[in-house]
Amino acid sequence: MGVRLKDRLGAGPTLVVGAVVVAIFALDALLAPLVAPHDPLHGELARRLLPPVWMGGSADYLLGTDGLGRDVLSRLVWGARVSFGLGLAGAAIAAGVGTALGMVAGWWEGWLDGLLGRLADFLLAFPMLIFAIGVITALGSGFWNLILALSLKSWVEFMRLVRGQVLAHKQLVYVDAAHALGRSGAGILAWEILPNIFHGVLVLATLRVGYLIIAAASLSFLGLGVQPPTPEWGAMVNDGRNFMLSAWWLSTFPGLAIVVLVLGLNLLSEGLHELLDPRFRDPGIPR
Amino acid sequence: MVGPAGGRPVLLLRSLSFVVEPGEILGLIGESGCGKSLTLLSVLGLLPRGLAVQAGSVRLDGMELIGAPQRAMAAIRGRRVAIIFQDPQNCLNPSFTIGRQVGEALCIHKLARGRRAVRDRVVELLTEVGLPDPEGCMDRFPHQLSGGMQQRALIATALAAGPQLLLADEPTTALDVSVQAQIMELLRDVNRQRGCSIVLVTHDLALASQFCDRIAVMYAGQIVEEGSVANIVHRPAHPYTQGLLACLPMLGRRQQLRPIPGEIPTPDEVLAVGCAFAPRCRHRLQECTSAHIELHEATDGHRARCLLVRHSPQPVGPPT
Repeated sequence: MGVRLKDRLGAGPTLVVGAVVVAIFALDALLAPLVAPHDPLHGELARRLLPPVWMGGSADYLLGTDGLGRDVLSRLVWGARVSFGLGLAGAAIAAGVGTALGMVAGWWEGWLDGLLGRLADFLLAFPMLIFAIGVITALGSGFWNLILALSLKSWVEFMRLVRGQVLAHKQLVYVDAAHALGRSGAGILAWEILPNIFHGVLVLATLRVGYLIIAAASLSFLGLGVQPPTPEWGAMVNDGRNFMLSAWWLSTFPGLAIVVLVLGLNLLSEGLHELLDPRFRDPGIPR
Repeated sequence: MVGPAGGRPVLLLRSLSFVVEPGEILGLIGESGCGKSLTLLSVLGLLPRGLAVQAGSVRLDGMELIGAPQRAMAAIRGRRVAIIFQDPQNCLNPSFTIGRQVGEALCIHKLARGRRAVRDRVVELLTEVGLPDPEGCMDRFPHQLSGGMQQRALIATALAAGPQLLLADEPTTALDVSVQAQIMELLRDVNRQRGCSIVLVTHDLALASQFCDRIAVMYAGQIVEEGSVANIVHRPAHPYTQGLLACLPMLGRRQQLRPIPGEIPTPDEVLAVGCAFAPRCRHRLQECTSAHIELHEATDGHRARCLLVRHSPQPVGPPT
């Protein structure tokens, strides 16, 4: 990895820009208690609906306040924890479950592969939001139920990706060579094949985080995600809906936050793909 | 006997038996499709899906390998019997450094403890196989090495656990001639210095005659002749072997090549009974296709699956 990393970091801005953006949001989420100027849950009703500071508002509330007098900036900062956290947790669970099932399906094939395939087809028939709405209606809303709903559908993509890769790699000679050295089936999967397909999973996972953030925000916007007063960007957009003409900043800033973070994640994913895909590693590699 | 699992009556390997003595290099010669690679794979229980050993036995120091439990086989593979495949580029995992792959057998069979120990051992092995700058090579990836160096690295991987028997499946076919010679010399050194037996599978009779102690010739899934190199090359008893020798172009001579007429039969074309070579043989007799033919002794240690040998243990027909 060391040789390639140095060569490739200079290759393009995609990775760097993406990484920087995501890092900023990640740091913000981690350090929320230190960064946010105010408590995101309590507002001063006397100071509700203040505009951002450059429009005549107060320096205490840089991005203004919402209908309950809560600081928009603080809610934005704390909301990063929620939104980013939802996306990360959902993607991580989906990746973990999907990869494990994909390896099993690709390696052993047979009836298990068939069963998983049919299950995948079934799940893929539903649009994400409809499916998530169904799950939440059945199980109730809330942070963990939301994650469950999101990952319950997302694991399928990882399973398919990993299964396809395992099937392809299974045929390659290095697998036979490893077998000939004394490795067992599970050992070959874990030590030989997985490192070769891991980059694909990582790239997909990064991409999915962005998608799940949007999905979570959409559900919260509809009132089905995290419940108030927990700050979540999608819910904040919804809260600001009634004030679109008078206090536009209430919906705009959380919306912008979603856009920028997801864009950053997409760029990061693209950059990782270029960095890690063996086809880009060296011209002249047969793969 | 190796054929499709499930018993469709098309056998790929039959009438095959040979013995490898400790420290000996046995050459397994044959053309494409005769089943030499399958023979090696069946020794280690590595037959592809869909093929199974239907009858027969493989014994290592008296221990039966066919049907042995997977655990026992995993302990043997790499540790007591190692196999080197044909195409080094594809055999090496492209995502791992050479050092990690050579050390893999050490880790699987728990022969070295700790990164320091593994690293030192790997450097020793890379030096043994003649790789320049072993320390540097350890951290390189397979695609950064030339074909010859990759094959050396593969040999190091195979030798790591100190096997008694090395199965080499056309190890030099994918390499240039000069590199070929180097790799063969390396294998000869391995044989001499470690006392490791080698089964060399190749279609290159000339190569085999230079490096092997004994040779077994295969045709269509059967061994048709076996003996010392001298006997096989100078006094070939089976018409197929004679034909093969006649096919070899000779340096310095400009004479017409004499190919063997006809074509190698596909597995379902092979005669169920009798000599598989009979349809192409100039000397065939009525009885050649009527019954199973055993290996008949021509001279001491030199045997051929041919009725002509049974009738007169001197070779018939013009050798080269």
